Amino acid sequence: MIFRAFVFLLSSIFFAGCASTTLAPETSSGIQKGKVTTAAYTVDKKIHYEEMVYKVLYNETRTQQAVFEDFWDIDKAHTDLLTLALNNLDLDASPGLTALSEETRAELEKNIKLSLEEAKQGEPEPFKLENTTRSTLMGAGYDYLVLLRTSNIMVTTTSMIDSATIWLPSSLIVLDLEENRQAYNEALIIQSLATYEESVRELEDNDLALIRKATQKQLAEGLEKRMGDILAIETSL
Amino acid sequence: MLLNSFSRIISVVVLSAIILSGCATSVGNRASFENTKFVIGETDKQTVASVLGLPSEVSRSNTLLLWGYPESPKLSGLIIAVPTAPDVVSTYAIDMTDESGLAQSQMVYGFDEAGILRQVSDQRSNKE
Repeated sequence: MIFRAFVFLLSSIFFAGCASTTLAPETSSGIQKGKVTTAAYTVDKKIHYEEMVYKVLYNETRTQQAVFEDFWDIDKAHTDLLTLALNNLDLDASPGLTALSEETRAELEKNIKLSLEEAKQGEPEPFKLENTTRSTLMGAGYDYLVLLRTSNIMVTTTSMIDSATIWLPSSLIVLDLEENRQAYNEALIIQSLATYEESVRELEDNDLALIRKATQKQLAEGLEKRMGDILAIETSL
Repeated sequence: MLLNSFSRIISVVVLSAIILSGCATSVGNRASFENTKFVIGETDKQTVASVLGLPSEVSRSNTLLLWGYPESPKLSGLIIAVPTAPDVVSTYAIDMTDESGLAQSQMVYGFDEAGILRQVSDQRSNKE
């Protein structure tokens, strides 16, 4: 494939954590002593493009979606980053969803989708695992689940400038498996900037190399900076 | 005097609109359907993705993986600025989103298990 894009990422990319609360001390203590499983799940594996187009007498908003599920295993990539961030805090964390059967995993994904719909409607119920998922994870020795739920990838731009903002609207959820309760659930906004030459869709070149690079870098840096605070673990950072 | 100034502003705005056609959108397909040269039985889905961009919709039939593309990006909103008095310009936002959030696919490409193009369905004229 001809890589005709002239695209580079701006250095001023950043990670904005809306999360202002931290884990309760007893949960923080438990998570440092216990075994943690990690999971990241993007509900809609689509890029939602939105562009403000200047039309002299008016501006219009144009949108198009791009399905990327055949080109990038985003869930594995984000789960690995989440696991690394927890391991860097000296937590005993590992991806555990491989322990789930296909059917149980599908049930969990359905549950995550439902939780996102509830969150969009304004007053979400605390996230709860279905019994089979919870018992399977506990059977594998896990005490906590740290879940990164992302709705999709959003790319916003305007016709007047050749740069775009890439968003990963996400929430970080911590579940206490033994007590069967949600210990934490806060929004995280992972945001980065990119420039392009002619079309914002140049970001898709090389199996989404630039979108991957931007989002992975921001997620890794953001988790490294914020995870200690979120889990109430003191770090040297 | 005020009316004269107001008329001048309107004239400049109208003249600008005639001179400038405004900007084109870049979120749509990377090529128009007419400019593609896909060959059934030869072209693979990576080629289609590199020429048109990733599909807007993906589904499966019994035998094929289906990629759908709209002809143009969906118009989902307008912001209009209207001079309502000599020193006042009011803006009006019109939300045009619908529940589906998706433009209906107007060109559908079908790929076999190996990712080779086996079918092209042009929904604009209902021809294959």
